[in-house]
Amino acid sequence: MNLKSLKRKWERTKVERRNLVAQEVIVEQRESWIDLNTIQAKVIFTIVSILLFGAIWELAAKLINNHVILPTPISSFKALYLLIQNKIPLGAAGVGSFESMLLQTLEITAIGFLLSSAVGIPVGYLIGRWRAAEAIIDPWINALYAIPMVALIPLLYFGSGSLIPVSVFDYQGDLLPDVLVSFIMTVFTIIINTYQGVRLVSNSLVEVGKAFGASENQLTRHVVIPAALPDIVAGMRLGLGRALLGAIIAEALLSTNGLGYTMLAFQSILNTPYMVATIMVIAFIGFVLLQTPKLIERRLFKWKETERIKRGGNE
Amino acid sequence: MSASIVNRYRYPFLFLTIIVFVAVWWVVAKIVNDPYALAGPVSTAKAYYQLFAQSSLRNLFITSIESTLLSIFLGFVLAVAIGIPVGIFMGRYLVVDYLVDPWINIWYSIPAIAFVPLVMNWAGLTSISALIVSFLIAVFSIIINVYTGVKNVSASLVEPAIAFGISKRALYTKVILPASTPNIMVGLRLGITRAIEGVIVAEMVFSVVGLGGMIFDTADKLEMSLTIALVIVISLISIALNYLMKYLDHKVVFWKESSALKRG
Repeated sequence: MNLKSLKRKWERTKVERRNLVAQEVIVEQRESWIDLNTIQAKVIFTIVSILLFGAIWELAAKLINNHVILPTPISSFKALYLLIQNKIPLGAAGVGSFESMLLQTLEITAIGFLLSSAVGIPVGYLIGRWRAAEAIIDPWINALYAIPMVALIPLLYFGSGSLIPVSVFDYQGDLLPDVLVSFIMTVFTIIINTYQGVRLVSNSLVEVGKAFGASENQLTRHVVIPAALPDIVAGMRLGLGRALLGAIIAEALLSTNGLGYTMLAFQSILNTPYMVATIMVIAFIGFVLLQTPKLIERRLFKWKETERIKRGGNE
Repeated sequence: MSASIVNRYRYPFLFLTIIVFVAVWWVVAKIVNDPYALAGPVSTAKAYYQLFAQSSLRNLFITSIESTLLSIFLGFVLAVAIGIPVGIFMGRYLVVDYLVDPWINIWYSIPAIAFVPLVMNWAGLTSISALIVSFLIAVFSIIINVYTGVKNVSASLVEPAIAFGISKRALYTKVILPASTPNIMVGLRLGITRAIEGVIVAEMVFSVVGLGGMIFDTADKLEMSLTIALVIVISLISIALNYLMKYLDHKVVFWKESSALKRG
């Protein structure tokens, strides 16, 4: 055996060894019957996962054998179908049509979200740019982040009737408290994220801008906003989830229509399949509202993948 | 120039802003002049006196705080005990990842309050229900963050360990767990914030147990000064828990200040 073939053999075993280690390390899939790194595998496993979940649910429901505690998936989906068809069971007091509750929830979410974006982004921007007061603003921001905003809801609701004359807004009077709740739940998330984004804009960018004689106006438009945009948008995405949460909490606690109210109305007559169906609708809206912007963000801000996108959101 | 002044006298300035806040609150309350809409600082202080002097109210207050804290802590501890192993398995085994990931994403997007009526059917209007809600809400943010952390453990840490013949158990305890600690801590911090919020929401819907229930109940009776007093209490508890987590975070992950941590 000459030296050359020996060397080649050594090289080959080296590569094999490395491959072996890599396989073991990265996915630990030595005995797998399918290559897990393909799209097909992912699709198959997602389907299997859905079926498996359904099977577990069915099994658990059969074992518990009490439709109040846990209805079977089939009866839940049947209830969902009937709910969408507006066939609401007797006894569910004051539950409106499916469209009306869906529309109300979406309306409150949308208005709460737009209002808090309109207020939150400028405020967050201003306090983020105000470097002189950083030491004071920071603790307040941290405190705001920590405070559970839901605790403010009773204050807002029971106070808002006499605090703000409804006629001032001339907007469907009974939705105003709900919108306020959604707003208060959302606005701080947006303020905090805008603030952090603006504050973390690298100093060197701003200084270069200043060195080339940019005015504050130009600095805002061409340096700070573009650099902070991914964080602002990430904050808005989180805010969207919060706005929905706020809308549903408001409806559950205060309103007499909407998905939040409906969910609890079905609970109070112990009609769990319908309740689960309502929860499914809410879950679907939540999923769409949170996941769609994430996809858009991935496309738009490839150049600055924020920690939050990688983590899958921090709300 | 002004920045340095503010930074040097940080705490006096902070104290000043609190005083300004209370003053503004006082002025606004005076202008509104409606105790049912907005109670002023003075009547809130009176409410605190009432809260401690009146024995029936005091007992209710103490049991409420106990049940709220217990729900938050037990739910959170349970979420940690389940969330960390699940997150690690998801991060290490692609099969588990593919099977569990769709559901984690879906459940994570569900607004917290959607769990409340379901849990009401299971355990009634009790603090156990609040506990389950806090668990269900905290566990997903913990799983997602642990999963991200484990998945992103650099292969340059894992490969040498395997090359040097590390045992499976030691691989987890000595390499993967320490390397993903920053993300785990982020998950825990988010988890406790969400757990607190979930417990308060659940208690407000139940309106018979815990601080959330007491807040809703007092507001319902239009005793706004008491409501504000209780809201301040729950806010302080929440801030304290957050600072505790932040402190633990800096203690545990002393070697790394990731951008994720800075963002909170």
